[in-house]
Amino acid sequence: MNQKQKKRLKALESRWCDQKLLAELYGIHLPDEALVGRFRSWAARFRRNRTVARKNHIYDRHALEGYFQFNKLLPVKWAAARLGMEQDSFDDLLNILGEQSLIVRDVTEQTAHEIFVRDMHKFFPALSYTVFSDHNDFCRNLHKAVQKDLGLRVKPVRCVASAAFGDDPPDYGYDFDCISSEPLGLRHQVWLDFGKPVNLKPDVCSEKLFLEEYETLSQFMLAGQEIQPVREQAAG
Amino acid sequence: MKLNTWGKPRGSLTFPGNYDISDGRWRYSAETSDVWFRRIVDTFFRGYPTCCAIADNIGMLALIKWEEKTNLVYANIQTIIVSGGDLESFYLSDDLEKDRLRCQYLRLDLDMKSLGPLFKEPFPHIHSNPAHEPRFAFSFGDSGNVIMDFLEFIYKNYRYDEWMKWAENVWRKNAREAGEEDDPFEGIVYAFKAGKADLLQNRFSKDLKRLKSYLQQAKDSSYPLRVKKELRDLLNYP
Repeated sequence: MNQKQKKRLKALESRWCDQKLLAELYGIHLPDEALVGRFRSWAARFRRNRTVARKNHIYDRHALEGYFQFNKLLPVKWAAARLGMEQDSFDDLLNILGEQSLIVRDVTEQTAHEIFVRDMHKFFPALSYTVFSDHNDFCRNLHKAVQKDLGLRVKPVRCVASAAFGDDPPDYGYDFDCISSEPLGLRHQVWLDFGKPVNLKPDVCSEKLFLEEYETLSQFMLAGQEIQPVREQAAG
Repeated sequence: MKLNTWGKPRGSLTFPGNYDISDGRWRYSAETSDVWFRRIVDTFFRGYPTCCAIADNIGMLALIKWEEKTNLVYANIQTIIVSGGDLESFYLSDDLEKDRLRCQYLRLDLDMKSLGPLFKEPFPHIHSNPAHEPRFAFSFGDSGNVIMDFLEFIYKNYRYDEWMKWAENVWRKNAREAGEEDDPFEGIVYAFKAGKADLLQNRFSKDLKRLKSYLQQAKDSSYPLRVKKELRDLLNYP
């Protein structure tokens, strides 16, 4: 584990994080007056503990994720990953759909509505009543439809662990490794426990990193998972 | 779809109200799916395909019979599911669109007076094409609410987005007393998505049982007709 990752691991143990970490975890760049204003208003109205920000732009990331979840929003970085594409491609896609008056962007451009991401395939007639077998099937078909209907060549985001384990083709990304920031699919996740409330999406790292750093990371593994360092043995 | 028994001790109901099952069957040897669907829509729905829709792309025709107020003795529910478009586009489709639009036929059969030869026909069963074989056993819940379980089966398979909205609403309605940081619903959903059977078993098993019980209760409170689970177990093999 490199120094940056060690530092990240330490930072994740606290719910309070600075702008830099927020940018790395969520792709959110603060200060964003619209976003912070809404976040604070939500906390004042709905949270028992209303303190969600400290001096020097230190924010409670658990509360921030709670705000996203309550309002059914996703940070744009996460939204792009849910569609298995790079953030640039996602921005291009939103711009094209916006130009065609098919969507209205949120007040802040740093978030997207979850329902819009979940139902993205419905913008494409060929996919509107399609049942997808899994996330990979969804992304593959969506990217094809985007290219065919909108002429946009999507840059896919692939799971780093899946590629390392030799899956061919590698899985599409769905999330990000909270320690390395690398894209992560659904199959090779290890859920970590940094004291995050159970209602929120867990912090995840890749099975690859977890196995490589088993001694350091196993203490953070969310209880209930049965992950043993078997892949190393198999590779050996 | 209105299949309300209005508390009558016995009776039969059809959807649509003017449905005649002998005219409604798909004549498999003589009709393709689109020809059958057009005939059905023109005969029973005055040419409006959306009138048979339970969702944009799912149409139904049903005949049910019951006795003793809640005892379901007969059900024939034909379902047509269109993918690549909705029912209207399937109804209006021409030869060029046939490749794009695909259609799945499913029929739930339950008949207390026609059980078939010994153990041949599961009770109840589903046909995936209008011809006789094969018949797949339809597994319903312990409460015997076959009609609702069949509708749920359709939604889970073909309109999962809608099913998921319903499931989330049911959970939220029942689990509202949980604190804002104690609600495990998102975790359960994500654990399924990521294939975390170990976590579901070791961490979320109580919550999963709660969720299943809420969903079953929601279904059971919305429809009265039942088939006895004991009867199903007796008649079926294996």
